[in-house]
Amino acid sequence: MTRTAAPVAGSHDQRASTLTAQTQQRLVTALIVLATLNALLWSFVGGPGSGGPDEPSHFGVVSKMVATGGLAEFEGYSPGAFAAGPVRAQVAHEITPNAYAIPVAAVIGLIGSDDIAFNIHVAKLFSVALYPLTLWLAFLTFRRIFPDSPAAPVWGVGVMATVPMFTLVHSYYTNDAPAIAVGTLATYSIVRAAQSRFARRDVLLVGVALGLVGLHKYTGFIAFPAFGITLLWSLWRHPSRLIQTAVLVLGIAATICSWWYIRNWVLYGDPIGVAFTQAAVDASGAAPVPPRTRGLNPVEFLQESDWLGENFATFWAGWGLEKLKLPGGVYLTFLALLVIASIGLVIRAIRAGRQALSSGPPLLFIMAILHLGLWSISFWSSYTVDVALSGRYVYPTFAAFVALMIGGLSGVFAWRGRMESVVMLGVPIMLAANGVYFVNTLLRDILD
Amino acid sequence: MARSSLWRRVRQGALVSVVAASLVWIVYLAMQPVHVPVFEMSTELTSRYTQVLTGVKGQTFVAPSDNLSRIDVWFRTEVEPGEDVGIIFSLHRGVGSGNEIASQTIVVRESRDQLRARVSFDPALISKGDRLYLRLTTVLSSPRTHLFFAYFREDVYQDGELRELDRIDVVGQDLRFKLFRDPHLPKPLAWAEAPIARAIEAAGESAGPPPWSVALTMTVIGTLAFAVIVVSAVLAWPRLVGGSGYGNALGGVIVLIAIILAIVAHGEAPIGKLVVQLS
Repeated sequence: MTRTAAPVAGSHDQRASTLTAQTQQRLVTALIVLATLNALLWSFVGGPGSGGPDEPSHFGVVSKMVATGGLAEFEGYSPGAFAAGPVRAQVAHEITPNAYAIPVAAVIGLIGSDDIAFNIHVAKLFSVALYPLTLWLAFLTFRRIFPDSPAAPVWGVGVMATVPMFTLVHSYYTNDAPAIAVGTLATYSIVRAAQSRFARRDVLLVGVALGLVGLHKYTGFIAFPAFGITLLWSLWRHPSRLIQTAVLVLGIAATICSWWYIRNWVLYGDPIGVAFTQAAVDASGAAPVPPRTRGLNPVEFLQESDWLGENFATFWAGWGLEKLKLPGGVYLTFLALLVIASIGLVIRAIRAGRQALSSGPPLLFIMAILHLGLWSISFWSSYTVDVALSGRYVYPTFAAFVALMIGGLSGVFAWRGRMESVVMLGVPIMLAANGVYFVNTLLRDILD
Repeated sequence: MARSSLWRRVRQGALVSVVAASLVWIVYLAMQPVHVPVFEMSTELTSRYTQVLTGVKGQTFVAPSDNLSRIDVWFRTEVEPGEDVGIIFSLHRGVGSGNEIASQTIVVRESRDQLRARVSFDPALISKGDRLYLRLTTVLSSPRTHLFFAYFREDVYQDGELRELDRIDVVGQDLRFKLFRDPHLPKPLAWAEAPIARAIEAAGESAGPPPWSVALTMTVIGTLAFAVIVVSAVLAWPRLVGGSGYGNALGGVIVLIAIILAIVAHGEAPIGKLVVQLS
């Protein structure tokens, strides 16, 4: 039994989609297998400890865990640790929640050897293993948000399978891949809950997802306010159910993740660890002073740090404006797509009007809270604590970003008929572009 | 009625032309010689241009493998109308104008920016470890004509130096160049050898898994990617062009492969490059 999406009434092309649900699923499965093997390949060729940003620090935490047989404890920074560079630590890696390091350390403890390179390659496999999970959750999310556009989930997964930096973070060892996986799970669970108006099963799922978010990198925490807004919007007319649901979800989440913060409190007297880390950075001697403390206003900070350009470049590929990894035309194409998608989202918002107030929260609005909210937090963090810039910091909401892109682009051009074909043909072209990146950029940087 | 029939024929003709052009492009690329990159500069570095003022620039290097068959260099020209730039590309053992292995002269009659020269030679002439010198002798037809080669101010290549009149002018500089060898396998396997050989080399440098696992992973990726390409084309193309049947689907596969080859292999097409065969 196969199903096809219903045609859009009033459109010039009312033919049903060429994609049956079965074909859609098979194509997505192929893309996910392809993306996973690709990340595996990237992990094979990436130098151990130099596969991507922060790998040595995160593997250092795992090594400490293997050595002590328990969680790593923060012992302060060595004198002058931040004297030479432009950035200071935000939260020490040992203090930031990172539960995924526990199974990684356990496996390395079991099968690891004296060869550090081997151990790092094993750790990388854990990042690779999360990639299909993230992509499948994203697929389920897109299918729920765009039920009438069978090409949308395929295209969305295609984007997530081929953006070079997204592939890269799943090919080396840091806390990014688990944060992305749980962030995507949270996105999916919130979408489900919004659609079912917090049916019991979805309440449980959101609670578990937020609990897992609480056990990983702080960048995933944007899911908490997104959950709050979705809950308020969905159940504001039923205050007692709203309170019950909130207590239940947060109770489940707290049960799963609170131990980490209690541990931080006991060890450092600071459950979150920002204040403790900043004190440790200052105690290490000379360190960069955060822009806000230096008296810069946000606009001056944007100009001085080139925040927009640097984040835009590293969101797609590579490590910054000084080391652009893609041809200029590719960045311009991305920018053009972003502009068109933004216009499409405005068109959609105008069309939607007040309808949403009575029919529950618009899913794209939730996606915007998730993704743009994380950008705002990223900006505030760079401005007030540590200037470290990277587009990958917002990857826990990458699925939300892709949903916004699909929503915006299909708001300008309906993904039906011929446009659906164009969208479908874009997927293999994205695959080819990713392959070119591997051969022409990644291998070249490793070998030469 | 007649108009719609005419329109249908025009569309059909245009479609057949697109498919035919795609096929020509695929065959054209398939006929190109395959070269496996064995050395190139990282994208982390930005090259600059240095003007040829003394008439001779060059780069020393060590052959990193047997079967070395190609060196690419990048340059730009500033040529007044009616003028030209002559460049003698010559490959030598050791530094200097002696011990020439092969050479060729080319003439550029227009201003060009970021021109890439593909300098090919007989792979049998070179063995791994040979100390070689690419000598670039310039003959300018007037003082208003200029030639610049891409180079790095940093010492990005440890086994050689940029030379000016066969001598080291500034220590620690290198010409921007890329080295290739001939593939060990015949076509069509040679097309796969080029990326797989590089990936195996990278995995070796990164203490990664054994070569067979890299080759197997890449083979599965390639096969799966090809399947996605075919399925996407078969599903989407007939609808895009308004038709059905096997012929249409095949046309879609051909066009999509041509587009993908333009992305993947355009760098290997001799279009827009200066092809120099040393003899």
